[in-house]
Amino acid sequence: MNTFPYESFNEAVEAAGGYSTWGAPAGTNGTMVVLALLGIAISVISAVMVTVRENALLDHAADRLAEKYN
Amino acid sequence: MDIAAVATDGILTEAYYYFTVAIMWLLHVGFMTYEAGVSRRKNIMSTAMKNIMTIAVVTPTFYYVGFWVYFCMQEGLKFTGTADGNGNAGEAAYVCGEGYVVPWDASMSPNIGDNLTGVFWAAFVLFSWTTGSIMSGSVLERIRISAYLWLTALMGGIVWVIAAAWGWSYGGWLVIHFGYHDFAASGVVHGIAGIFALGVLFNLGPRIGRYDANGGTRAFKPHNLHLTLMGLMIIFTGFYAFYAACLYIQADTTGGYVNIYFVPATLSAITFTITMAFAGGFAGGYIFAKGDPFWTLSGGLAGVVAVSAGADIYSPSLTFVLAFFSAGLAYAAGNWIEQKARIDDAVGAVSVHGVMGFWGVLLLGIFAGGFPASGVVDVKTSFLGQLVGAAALIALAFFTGYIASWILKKLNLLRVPPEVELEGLDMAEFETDFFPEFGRADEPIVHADGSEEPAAGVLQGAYRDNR
Repeated sequence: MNTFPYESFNEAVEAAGGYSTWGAPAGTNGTMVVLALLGIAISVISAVMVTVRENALLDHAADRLAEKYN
Repeated sequence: MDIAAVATDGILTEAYYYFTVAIMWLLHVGFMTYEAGVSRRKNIMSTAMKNIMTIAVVTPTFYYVGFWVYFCMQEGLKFTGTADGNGNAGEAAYVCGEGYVVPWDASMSPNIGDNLTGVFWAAFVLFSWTTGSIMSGSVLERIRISAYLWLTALMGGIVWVIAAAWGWSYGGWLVIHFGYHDFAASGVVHGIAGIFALGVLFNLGPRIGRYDANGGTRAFKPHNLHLTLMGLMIIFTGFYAFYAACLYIQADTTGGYVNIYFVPATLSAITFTITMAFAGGFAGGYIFAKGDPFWTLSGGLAGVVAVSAGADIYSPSLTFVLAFFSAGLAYAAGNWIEQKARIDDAVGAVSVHGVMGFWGVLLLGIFAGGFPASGVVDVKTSFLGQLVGAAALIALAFFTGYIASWILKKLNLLRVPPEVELEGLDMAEFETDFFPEFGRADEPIVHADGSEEPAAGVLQGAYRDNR
């Protein structure tokens, strides 16, 4: 037995121009912009963190190995 | 067609792309396996980590920037608000200016009114990872993981996408004005990745000990060539999905399969092509490389790359012949790059993907000139059009790769310290030995005259000479 309100749901989606996260009208959701910017920021910051962390690891290893190879 | 049939049609298209994406993951399983096998024991995990993290950086770059670039840079090095690729047809095909595929648009959300954008996006993402993974092999055993990630985000998330916007879309300027045809991305994926890698290699330099003072080339032995060959076979399996994803199928609008330029094509044709190309490439690789296992399998890859541009229209016999001789050309080019140009490309990717990619672009102009290049505008393929396309894409790839790696080099963020390279990247990057139950055997090195000796003394000498 179908219990989902397909008809009213479809009408609501059509009226909103689509469905997007949290149900706001598609393409007009300011929260989606904020989430996208957050995602971009996390991407950039994590790449910077990988770079900084690796730099420290390699510097440490190079110092440790300097005597062996020099 | 009634509404129900249209809806079913869209769902089938959605499922078709979904499964090509799933199978294309095998490309990346294969790339990781292949490159880990090529690496020396001391660099295995750092090599594999590059392949894994490719997914972590290229995917968001493509989601947030790349997909939009594809739709908005069809007309060249400029963002056009109205790029529509309509040419003479007068119909808006692309909707850059309307927000389509901007990350916060409904098209990039769980939208029950849109079955297709997500799966198209994912197919493009898998192509994006592929470009990154192609470069990954070239630079292994001395590049910093972080440097590689910046470079692969640039190339996989943006540079190849610009190339695709220009030459792998029915609205691209290379297609509309020059009839550029590159069905399965000889140029826009393989060529771009290989030439971008070449630009990076100029700044990265060879591995310590790769070349001797007399101009000879030394060889490092892969720690597990079987693993490398298995990786290539897995890549080849994924290639079938890569090819399938280069087709578009939506019966209500196209009447069947079409290529990305909306010219009719069939899944059957590309199955002929790819299978015969592998056969021809393996045969050519074996013959020209005198039975060398690595180049026999790489010959198969080179053969497929060389015919990919015309895989929708070549006859199977033509494909076999072109792949056979292209494998030989890839072997010769790889040796020239390694031994004469003294560019240390650890897996021959510049030859197999870069040279073969653009060789394949030109082959199409020779063997398939005069074919309708677009289903939207009246333009035909030609050698000149392919030449213009190759020149534009080579310039795009080389200069972006060279400039980006030059900046990293100036910041001292491109290459690991030489002491770390000698010791092995894994101990420095992860501070653990991933094979604790096995002792380290002496690493061998092969001299230009074919003789072998333990590498430690040779590498130490090379390190001191270059300091």
